[in-house]
Amino acid sequence: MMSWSFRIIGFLFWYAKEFIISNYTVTAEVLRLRGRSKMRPAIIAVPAASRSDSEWTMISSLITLTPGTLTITISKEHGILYVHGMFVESREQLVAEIQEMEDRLLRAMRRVPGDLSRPTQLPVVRPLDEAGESR
Amino acid sequence: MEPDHIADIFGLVFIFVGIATIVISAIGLFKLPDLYLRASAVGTSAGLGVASIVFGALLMDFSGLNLVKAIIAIVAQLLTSAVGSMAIARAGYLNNALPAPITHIDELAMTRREVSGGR
Repeated sequence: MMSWSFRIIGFLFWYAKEFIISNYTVTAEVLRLRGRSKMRPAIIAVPAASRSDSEWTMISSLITLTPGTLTITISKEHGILYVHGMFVESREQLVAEIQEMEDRLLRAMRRVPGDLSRPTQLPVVRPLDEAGESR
Repeated sequence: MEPDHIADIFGLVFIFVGIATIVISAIGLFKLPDLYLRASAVGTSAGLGVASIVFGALLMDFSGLNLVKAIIAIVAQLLTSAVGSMAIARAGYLNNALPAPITHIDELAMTRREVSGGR
């Protein structure tokens, strides 16, 4: 019980720190001259450990709230967050950042952290055909 | 200096930091190349900009009731701006607003049908 409340407070401070750092990096990027831009945008499929609806809502809103990262959509069925990042050097780097945030969030949200496993293989996704139902 | 005076000065500093953040993210709206980057950049004004103005106003006129109001205002602002950005980004993607060419990986593209009609 005690450790749960510490995890919540710890998460809040950690998130506030990340929030301020990313605000600073995005502001600096906007003020930088065009030729010296460090921007490396990418859209990455991040495997996620969230299970319940409230966990999905929280993680995707918190990702969007941090400037520089943006959840475009989620696939609950495959357990994947599609995240647009502004400074992405490699796939692994963004996945690590998002998964660290998710680990901390889930430990703060669940009384007992429990299962934090993630799907290891990307699913094979196909676009719905023209006649398909609404997306 | 009395405490009131110091709180006023700090309040003004926070309000000006908020204004500067909002102005810079407005510049970002013009400068950045595509919908998704713009939506991320606006996050700075919607989050830190508004929160810091509300906090500055709270410091200048502090009371218990104002503290509750400020907390509600900041939390509601953060939640709605996040949901709004996600809705705009998703709507843009479904309507073929392609990411700028500088985007080097696009793993959502495999869910997209062949684009026939351009952007």
